[in-house]
Amino acid sequence: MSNFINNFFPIAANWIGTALASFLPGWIANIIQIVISISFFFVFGTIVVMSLVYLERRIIAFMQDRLGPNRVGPQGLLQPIADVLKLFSKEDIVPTNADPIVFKLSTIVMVVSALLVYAVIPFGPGMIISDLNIGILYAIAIASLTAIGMLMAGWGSNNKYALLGAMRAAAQVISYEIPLVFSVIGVVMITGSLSTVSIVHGQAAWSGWRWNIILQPIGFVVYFIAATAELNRTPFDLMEAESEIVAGYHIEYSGVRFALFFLAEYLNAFAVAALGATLFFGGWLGPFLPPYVWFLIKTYMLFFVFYWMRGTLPRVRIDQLMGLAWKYLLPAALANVVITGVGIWVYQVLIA
Amino acid sequence: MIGTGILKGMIVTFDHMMRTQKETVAYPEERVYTPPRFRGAPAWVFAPNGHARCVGCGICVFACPHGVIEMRTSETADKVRMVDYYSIHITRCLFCGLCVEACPFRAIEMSDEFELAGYQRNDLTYTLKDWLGPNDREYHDVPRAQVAT
Repeated sequence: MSNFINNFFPIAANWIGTALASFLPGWIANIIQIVISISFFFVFGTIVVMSLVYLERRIIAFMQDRLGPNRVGPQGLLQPIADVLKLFSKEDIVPTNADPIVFKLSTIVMVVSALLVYAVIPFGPGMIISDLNIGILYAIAIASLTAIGMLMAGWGSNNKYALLGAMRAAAQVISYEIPLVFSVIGVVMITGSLSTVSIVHGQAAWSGWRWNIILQPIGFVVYFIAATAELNRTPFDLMEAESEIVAGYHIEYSGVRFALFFLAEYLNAFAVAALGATLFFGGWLGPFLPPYVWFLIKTYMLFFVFYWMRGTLPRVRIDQLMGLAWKYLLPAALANVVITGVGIWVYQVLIA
Repeated sequence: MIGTGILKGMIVTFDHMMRTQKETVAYPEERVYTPPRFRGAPAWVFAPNGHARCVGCGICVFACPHGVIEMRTSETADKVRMVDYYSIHITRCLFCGLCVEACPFRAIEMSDEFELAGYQRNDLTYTLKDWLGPNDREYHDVPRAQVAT
């Protein structure tokens, strides 16, 4: 029974696969199974984003001694559904002087690149779409594609604020990509693999408690700060700073297209938090509860820190932002790589 | 040390998140606190025995700068003046409190009532029948006149 609960999703996928293969040719069954799992992830992602938006508004309200949304449904739980319905029913405006192709394509680039990252996130044993042996590299490469989407949105809108936001986005995302990658290298050195599943298995030592945060505290701090900047969340939300450039690159978007930008932003944030849980907090490992529950608990706890930082910290200046990336985070990440290398060498010579 | 300021701020926000007392007042369910000298709509004051304190002298009608108050009186056979009709057109009232200042008997006071919207113009003329009920204000008992009505 516990095996069934713990491996519910792989068992269900297997059952659907065999049921389809019993009356369909193999390749069609394969394709249908892939479509089913992809649409499952899309629905799961949408629900997760709605929960994240609700939690963000509620928690930040509590931090500011307010109540937050509490009218639609019990405790305001249906508020995100009302918001989504409102966004879908709004008019879809394309500015007259905008470049229509680039303008419309940018939302697709954003959402697709956000969803692609989920291919390598292990939600539990066997609950991964594709266990690539270069999983981390793939995730970071895909995640930085959002910069292209932002640039397209900013350029295609034909709006000075949008372009300004997009330029800031490009500068910021490219700068913070470097400390992000270097902070992950320490974990990769310890595990000896780029596969996300192997990284989680590597943390199963010490009866499941050798989480990488114990060995890589600096790496985690650098990863978290760089990820916050990468996701344009406060205190690094310069590219959509309301008080300076109104809304940044998505200023001209309305209705469904704006909803897609919103979706992409939160999907990215959730993916980064999930990767953080995988890399530094032992992924699905944990006692008693099913692995996917542990994974979601860890991810939501990391996301809570995002909320917490947003409720606490004011926005940084653009020069402070760049200074932080190049003067502090990058040297810290490089030093972390060196220290990790020395540590591994000492471990191999003295203990192993 | 670097980062202690950030940690201090984070602790402050966490503390505020855990508080159950919030600044927001969920208005229709919870009522906003009205201070003792809050100037809501003017209302009649009643003695503990349920009698109004108004003697129908009409000073408030003269004191009102907008002519908001309307009053009609009559006299009984034993020479007691009765207030037959008393109304306040709350649409024109500017809540200045001059009627309260003018009243020699403290028969009219500014009440706590501030929900003064209506669907029709007639709803906004408050007469003795529908509105000038007892309010919860502290009652300064200095009766100096015969109680009418």
